Amino acid sequence: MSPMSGYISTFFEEGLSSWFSMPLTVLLSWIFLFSIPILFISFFERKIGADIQMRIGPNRVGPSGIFQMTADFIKFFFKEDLSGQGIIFSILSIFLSFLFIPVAQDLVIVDIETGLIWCILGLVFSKVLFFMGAMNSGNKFIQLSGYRVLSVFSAYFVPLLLCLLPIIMITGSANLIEIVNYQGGYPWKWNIVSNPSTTLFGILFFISLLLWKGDSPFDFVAADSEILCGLESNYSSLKRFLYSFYSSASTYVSSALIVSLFLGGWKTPFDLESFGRASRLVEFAFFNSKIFIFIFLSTWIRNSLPRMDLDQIIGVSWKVIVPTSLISILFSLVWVGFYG
Amino acid sequence: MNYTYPIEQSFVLGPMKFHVQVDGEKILNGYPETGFLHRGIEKICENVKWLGVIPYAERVDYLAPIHCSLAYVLAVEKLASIQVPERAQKIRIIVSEFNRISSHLMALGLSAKAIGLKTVFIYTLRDREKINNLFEMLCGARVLYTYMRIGGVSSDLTDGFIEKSYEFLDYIRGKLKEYNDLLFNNIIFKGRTIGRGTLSSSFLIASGVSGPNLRASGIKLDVRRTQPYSGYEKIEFQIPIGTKDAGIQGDSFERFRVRFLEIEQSIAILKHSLKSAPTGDFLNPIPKLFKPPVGESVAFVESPRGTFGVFVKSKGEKTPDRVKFLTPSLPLLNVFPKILEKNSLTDLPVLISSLDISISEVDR
Repeated sequence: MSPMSGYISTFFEEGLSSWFSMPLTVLLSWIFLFSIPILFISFFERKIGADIQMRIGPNRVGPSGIFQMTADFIKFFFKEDLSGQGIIFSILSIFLSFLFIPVAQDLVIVDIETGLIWCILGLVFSKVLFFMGAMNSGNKFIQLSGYRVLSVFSAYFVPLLLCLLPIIMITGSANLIEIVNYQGGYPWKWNIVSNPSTTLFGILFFISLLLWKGDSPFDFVAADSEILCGLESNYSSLKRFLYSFYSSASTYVSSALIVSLFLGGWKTPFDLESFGRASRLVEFAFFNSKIFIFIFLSTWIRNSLPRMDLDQIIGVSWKVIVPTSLISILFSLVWVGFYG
Repeated sequence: MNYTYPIEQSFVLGPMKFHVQVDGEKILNGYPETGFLHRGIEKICENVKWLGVIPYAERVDYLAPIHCSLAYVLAVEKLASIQVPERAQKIRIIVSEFNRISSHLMALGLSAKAIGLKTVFIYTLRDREKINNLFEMLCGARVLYTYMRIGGVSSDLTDGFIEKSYEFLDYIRGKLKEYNDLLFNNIIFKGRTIGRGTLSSSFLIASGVSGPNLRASGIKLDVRRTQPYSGYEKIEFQIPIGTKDAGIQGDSFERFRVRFLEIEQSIAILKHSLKSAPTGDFLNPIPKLFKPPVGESVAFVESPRGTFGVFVKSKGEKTPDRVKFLTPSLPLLNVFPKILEKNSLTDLPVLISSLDISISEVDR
């Protein structure tokens, strides 16, 4: 039984039968741990973006527009479905990555030793599915965008894996529960300040995740002025909503990953014994507040940098991130050898 | 493979199609298709009275209406030898420089939008809004003003206009620093514009291009200096031209930068003109049934996009016999194949927005 099912079964007096617990766990995590935070994140992204651009942003539906995404969902639901395939698989692929990330103390949906590798695979695979959908669309601009997905793939895949190595080296595990447990609640016990090279790797990993997301300044894949938004215009009606859901989900999961790896995950600086079973909720809130830092950062970057072209993107990846991380891995090896 | 960009594009104001032939993402050749905004303005002008041409002339380029109407008014004044009061001339300089700033802000915003930075576009629109407010204060209209008259302007400077103008000039000077940091000091922006879409000055002259696009290639041609009008000869200002400091003369970076520097020069001209506006009449009235003598005349002004000319022909009747506009955007279509060749599809929006084409001017 997975740790999450164990936690959920504590709410039932007689426990849960094993055949029923797994679907219930996945369903509850999909709703409460995945969908609802993501809807709030896309709202915050719009609100922060509007603030930077000195606009007001959504402010009509609910108090300060907080139910805007729900209203969007209802609107898109009733639109005519014209095109687009495969977006749901991309979202499931992102959800696959989320299964391995602990959201509170020892609380993870799937607990396996190679969780981190699966997590990265889920992230990367979701983009490959976009390529398939784009090739199927029959629109020249969307197909061009599909080719761009693959060309950017060469830019982010190697940096993503290289930046993971020092963390695995220091913590000695690829299980995200153990990686988080290795760190402490206070900032000086986080992996990012473990040694000088991990600080660098934290920054490089963040840039690689931006590259993977195709977020500005690397939004080459779905550039609006060059290829008429590319992939984004592939989807209509509910699928269009799912596309924006996907982009917020990618922000959420990638931020969750970087928080777990470098910023101490769900760890809180104080003891939560007195909270009892609700302490998990407090930890989840801590986890999400750390994620919020990265959402703010990526929205800030999105609204203040122009778009790079392919040469610049490949240049950033292969001329900056890869050589720096290779040298830093050597440094990290020496550091771990001397100081443990 | 052939790509056709649809009529409405986010980085060009107005309807215009692009056809490009690409190999992968490399552009082999490309050409524009225009004519979607043709209104037949020149023909309409033959059927309205001399004064009624002014609103139509403004619609030739709706981003620089003051310059279009000013060119027409200057041509008619030359034809009928009408004296314009000193104060009216000064007011004309003030409004045309405000219009130049407004148009260049729009061009700057669109180029930022083309390169993927919508924030700057929204910032420049916000600043442009303040100029619209000033014009509303002056003549009641915000976008198309109909402020020029044959023999002067329609109304005097209103109370508080000069103070508000000074306020705006101080404000925009601070904002220009911000745009400079966001665009011209940005390493990504530099990397994407320096050395891309280079146009030689000889090619531009052969194509008939004028204005900031030509000045970016190093030619110091400005109608305000070569054929001064409305008292520009009494004002000191510099003509920014493209240099080799940043990279290559005549590339898209220089075109953006020259427009940016022109805003600063306009601020200087405005500060001088607002200070030294003489007292007197703002309009030398013409008779109600205005019939200029038989003849022809031509007048040129420096519009934000280049040399804007108007030719008028009179047969001594109450309507003009012929009104012909020489627009600076039309020759830019000749530049299209040259600027796109050997560049990538990624650069297409940046290169096209660097030319600052006004479609309404091309089609008329």
